[in-house]
Amino acid sequence: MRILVCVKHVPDTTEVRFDPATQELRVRQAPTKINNYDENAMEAAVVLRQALKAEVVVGCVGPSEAAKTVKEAVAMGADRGVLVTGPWVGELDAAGTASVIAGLARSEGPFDLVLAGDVSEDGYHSLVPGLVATALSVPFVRGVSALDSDSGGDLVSVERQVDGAVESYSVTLPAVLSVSTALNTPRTVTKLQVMKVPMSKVATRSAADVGVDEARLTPDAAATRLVGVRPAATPRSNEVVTGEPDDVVAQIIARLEQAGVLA
Amino acid sequence: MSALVIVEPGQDPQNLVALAQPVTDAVEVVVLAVAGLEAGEATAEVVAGLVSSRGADLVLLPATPRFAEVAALLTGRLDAACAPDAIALAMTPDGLTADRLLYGGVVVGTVALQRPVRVVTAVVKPLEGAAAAPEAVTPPAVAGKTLTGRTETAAEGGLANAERVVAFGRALRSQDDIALVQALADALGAAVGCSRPIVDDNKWLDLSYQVGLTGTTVRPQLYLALGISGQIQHLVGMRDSTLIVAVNTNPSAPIFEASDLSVVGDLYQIVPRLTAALAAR
Ligand SMILES: Cc1cc2nc3c(=O)[nH]c(=O)nc-3n(C[C@H](O)[C@H](O)[C@H](O)COP(=O)(O)OP(=O)(O)OC[C@H]3O[C@@H](n4cnc5c(N)ncnc54)[C@H](O)[C@@H]3O)c2cc1C
Repeated sequence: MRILVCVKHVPDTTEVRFDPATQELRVRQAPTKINNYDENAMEAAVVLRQALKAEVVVGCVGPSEAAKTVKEAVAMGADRGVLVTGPWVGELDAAGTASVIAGLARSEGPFDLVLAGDVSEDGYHSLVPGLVATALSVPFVRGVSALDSDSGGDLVSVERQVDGAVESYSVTLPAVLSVSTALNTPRTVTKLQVMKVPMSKVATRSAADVGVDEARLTPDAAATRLVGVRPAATPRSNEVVTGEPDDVVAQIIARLEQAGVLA
Repeated sequence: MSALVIVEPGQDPQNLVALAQPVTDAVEVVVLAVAGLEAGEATAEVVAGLVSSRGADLVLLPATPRFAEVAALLTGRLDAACAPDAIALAMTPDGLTADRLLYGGVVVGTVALQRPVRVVTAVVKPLEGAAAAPEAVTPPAVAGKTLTGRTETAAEGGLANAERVVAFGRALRSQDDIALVQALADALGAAVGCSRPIVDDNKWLDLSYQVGLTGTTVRPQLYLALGISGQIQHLVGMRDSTLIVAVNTNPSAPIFEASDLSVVGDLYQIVPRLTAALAAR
C-alpha cells in the first residue's frame, strides 16, 4: 500500500497583521509552520504504515522554504517527501494547487490513499482534497473522524460528523480522505528529530516534472484571484470600567439594562 | 446571471437568497432532502444536473460540514470558481467577486471568481415555520463509496442560536469553577461557551461549547467573555454579537478592542458578585 499525505506550509495566522496605516497585509513577516490539520493526516498515515507496512510519501506544494515543513512531516514517520515548487507558487489558488497535487499523485504514484487535513489555517477553503479526488476520479470523504483499514488494504471504513449525524462509509481504494482534528492526536516531533531527516529524503520537483503546464498556474488563468483586502474588525465603543468589584458590577448591570438585555 | 440556492429541509434559505440579490434578481430555491444523497458525490451530481437544466451560473450552498464536501466536488466537476464561507457578493470591474475572511479572520479578502460557473457557500439559520417541498430526485449511484450507517446525534447545546452567551477562557483555574460561570449564565438565561484551550488542552468541555473559528459562530444580543484573551480565532466566532462585554485582568488584552464594555478586573471577584446582584433583582 502506498499513501500520499498532502501537507501545507502556512503562515502562523496568529502573527498575521493588517497595518491600517499602509492598508497592507503583513503575511510575509509572519513565522511559518506546518498546517495543524495536516498533522492529523500525517498521524493517520503513520498508524497505517505500521499496521499495513505502507509506504508513506509527504507531498507539498509551496515555496522552497516549505522544505522545512516537509522535513517536519517526514520526521513524524514518513518514508520520504516531495516538494513541488516554482515561481508560480506565490499566488496559486485552490484549483491550481489541486492540479499540481493530482499531477504529483500520478507521477509519484500510483497511490492507494491520499490523505490531507480538512482545511488550511490560512485560506480556510477546504477545497483542495475534493478537487484532487475529482481530478483523479476516485471517491472522497471529508471530515473523517474515525478510520479503519481492512488488512488487505482494498477498502477503508470511515466515520464522519455532519450537522446532526454521524455517518459511516465503506470506501474502495484508491480514495482521497480529508481528516478532522477529532480523528487522532498527532505525535510531536522534536527539533532534533526534524534536523536528523536527511535532505536526500526530500525531493524537489517543478510543475513540468509532475506534468503540469506552468502557464496554467498564473493568477489570470486561476479560478479565483485575490483582488483586495480590508480589516475585518467591527468598531466597538470600548468603554473601560475598572475599580472596586461592587462598583464594577453596578456599572455592568447598568450597561446591560441600557442595552435591554435584562428581562 | 441566474442563481440557484440549495438547502436541506430544516435550513432557512434566506441568508443565501440575500447574498445573491446584489448580483441577480433571478434566484431559485431548491430544497434537497438528505436521504439517498448523503455522499457528497451524489449531491454534487444532482446539483450539477440542476445547474445545467436551470442554466444557472451561480450556486449557493449552506456552509455546513456536509455541503463543504459537496462544494469541493461540485467545483471540481463543473470546473467552477468557488468562494466558501462568503459574506458578500458584488459585481465589480473584476467581474463577480466574493468577500470572505482570510488568515483566521484578520482581514476580509475580496476574491474575483473567474469561471463561468461560481459556487459559493455561506451560513444559514435553522428554518422557522414550514419547509417547501423537497425536489423529487432519483439518488444517483456513487462509485466506490457506500453509506453503511447513519446515527442522528443529539441536538447540540443550542449555543449557535442562543440570545445570550457567557463564555470563559483559560483564566478559569479549575474545572469545578465552571459552576461559577454556570451560575452567572443561569442568572442571565444564557448559554455557556468557552475558548479552545478549555476543549483541546483541558478537555473540560466538548467541542459543542467552543466559540470561534474551529468551533461555533455565535451572534447573541449579549456576549460576556470571562478571562478570554481575544485571539483572532476566537473573535471571528463572536464579533457579530450585539453587545460584547469582556472581563480581563490585563488592560491591554486584545478582547478589549472588540468589546463595548471593557471590564478590567479579576473574574473571581466580579462573577460571584454579578450573579448575586442579578439574582437580587
Ligand atoms: C487554526 C487555529 C484555530 C483556532 N480556533 C480557535 C477557536 O475556534 N476558538 C478559540 O477560542 N480559539 C481558537 N484558537 C486558539 C486561539 O489562538 C487562542 O489560543 C485561544 O483562543 C486562547 O484562549 P484563551 O483566551 O482562553 O486563553 P489565553 O490566551 O491564555 O487567555 C487567558 C486570558 O485570561 C486573562 N486572565 C487571567 N486570569 C484572569 C482572571 N482571574 N480574571 C480575568 N481574566 C484573567 C488573561 O489576561 C488572558 O487574557 C485557534 C488557533 C488556531 C491556530
